[in-house]
Amino acid sequence: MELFMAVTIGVLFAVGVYLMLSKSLLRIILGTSLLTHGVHLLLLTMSRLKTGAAPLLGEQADRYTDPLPHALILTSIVISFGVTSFFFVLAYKAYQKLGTDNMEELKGEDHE
Amino acid sequence: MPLRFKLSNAVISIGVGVVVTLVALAALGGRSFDTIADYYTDASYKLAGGKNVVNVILVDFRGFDTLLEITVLGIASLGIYSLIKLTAANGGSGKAQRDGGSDKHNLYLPSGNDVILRTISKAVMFVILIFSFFLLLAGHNHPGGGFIGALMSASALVLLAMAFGMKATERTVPVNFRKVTAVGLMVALLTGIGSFFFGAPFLSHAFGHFQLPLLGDTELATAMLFDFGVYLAVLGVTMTIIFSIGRDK
Repeated sequence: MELFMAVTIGVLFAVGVYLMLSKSLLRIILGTSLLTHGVHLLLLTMSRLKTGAAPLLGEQADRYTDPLPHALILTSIVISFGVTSFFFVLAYKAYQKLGTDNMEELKGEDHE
Repeated sequence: MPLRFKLSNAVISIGVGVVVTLVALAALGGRSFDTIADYYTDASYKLAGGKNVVNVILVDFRGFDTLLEITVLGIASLGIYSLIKLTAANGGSGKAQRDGGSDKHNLYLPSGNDVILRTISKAVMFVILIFSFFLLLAGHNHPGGGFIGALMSASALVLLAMAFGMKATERTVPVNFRKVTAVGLMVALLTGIGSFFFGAPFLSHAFGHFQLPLLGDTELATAMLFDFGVYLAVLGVTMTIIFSIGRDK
């Protein structure tokens, strides 16, 4: 399971970085959000994958899963939601203003 | 310009992927410190009086984290609002100006005659709103909490907006959601400051069991107030974002 998680994280990072290296603003934003998901899985994996009940003490279970990464990831998901929506509006406004979402054309004019 | 497959980018990204996989495997390998998860599981009920450990960590043990997180969210929502609003106030520019002006008719009105959607959403909206309050109140001991409650409430309002249009929603719910965000942040901050009056550090929480009429033995916690602040802030942020994006031409 750990190996599977590690490979998934690697794939998410690879796809995210590939998207970030492309020239479309939209793909760059999608790339950053994929990177965020990779980091979430990394956090979950780093705390060791454990079997157990959800960390609700009312469950009366013998073992609970680790609650700390859950809390950290929840914080991170909410922040990533805010930041991604801000990025999207920024890209949308840039597209409206400049008529392009290509990073090459957003560079401005050459000064040579 | 079409976006084509780039071999050099693919090589770089596969390299990053392999390195991160190795990092993940290395992080699994050795453990230098004892886990602190058991502390949270043990202390959750004893110190904070909550059985939902994740929620207790969010509002109590790591409350400062959550406070700053909703602040970040509030700033992001205000940024989105001003990006959309300021360009609209300037009369728009570039593309917006060229095809703007004549498309006012379908801005706020939903298109089509969605009788089924409208009839159902009238009833379903109240079910969703009540369930969201339940989630907010249950959050300390059962699955739920401020975030999920706020997102649930926002989904009810978005359903209303989808069925009846944004104008009707604004008339039904005449609330400035930016102010809701501000009130939520204020509630959370004041809850934190409130602990000063008892000589406790910032954001300390207390809880106790009380005999309430009708409800019987009830646990009341100041963390609930903080979670309510989180609820208001997240609701305000979500609705500000959705309504300002949705309103743009």
